[in-house]
Amino acid sequence: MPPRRVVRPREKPVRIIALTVKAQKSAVSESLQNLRTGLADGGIEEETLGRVEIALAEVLNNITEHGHAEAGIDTVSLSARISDQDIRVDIRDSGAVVPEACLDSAHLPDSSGPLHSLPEGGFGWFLIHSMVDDLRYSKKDGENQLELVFHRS
Amino acid sequence: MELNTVFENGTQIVSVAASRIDAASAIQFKDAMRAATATDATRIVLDLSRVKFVDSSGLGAIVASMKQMGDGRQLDLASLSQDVAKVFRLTRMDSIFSIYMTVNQAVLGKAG
Repeated sequence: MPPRRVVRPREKPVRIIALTVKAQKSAVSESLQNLRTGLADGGIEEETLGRVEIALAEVLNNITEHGHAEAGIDTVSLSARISDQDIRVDIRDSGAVVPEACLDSAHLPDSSGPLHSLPEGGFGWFLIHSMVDDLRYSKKDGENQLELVFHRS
Repeated sequence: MELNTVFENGTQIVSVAASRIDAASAIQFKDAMRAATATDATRIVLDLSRVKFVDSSGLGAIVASMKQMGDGRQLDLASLSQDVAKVFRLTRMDSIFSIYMTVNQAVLGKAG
């Protein structure tokens, strides 16, 4: 009997954008704009672009502030994998371990007080959790690996 | 960071001439706001029409700008992009600031 022909559904090629980002605020700002342009060229919708940029800004600035200052890391590698359904962004650095409290679900700082007591920070992880559909973190061989998943709108 | 000021009907309008208020520019924004708001105006409208992106550091700098103006003075916001409005809404900072669709509406005091 001749072997049965397996018919596979034709899959669209997955587009991958990879960047190495310097752990400096101005470099982060520039990389975010480049990535947004790259994702927009890949046909990603404005609403999704906004969520990706806000979440990545918070992640990369955290790494720059804590990782660079405390652990002396120089670069962060980032790769974004685009499919019809979602964007999966993989972020790797060799900085300090991310505290578990940040990874679960973050809370907003209290803004109910008078003017002088209004919070000027502490929004970062709350924004990350608000923007992503899924978040996975692991620490392997001294490397932080964070995967953020954004369903396309 | 470049900020431009005009006065209209007793309201001071400060326009941000940059596309981002983020971690890289938050301190410059706050310093420029301190200089721009050293006036007698009791109400200042921050025109964000050219700003496409604000992260948590930028948000913190806008809150700090209002705090450094002192008591008895008001900072309102106008012309937020979708992404910027989302950051204010999610962090509930839209309940701290009065937010207007356009600078004109802010000057007239019409709800946005």
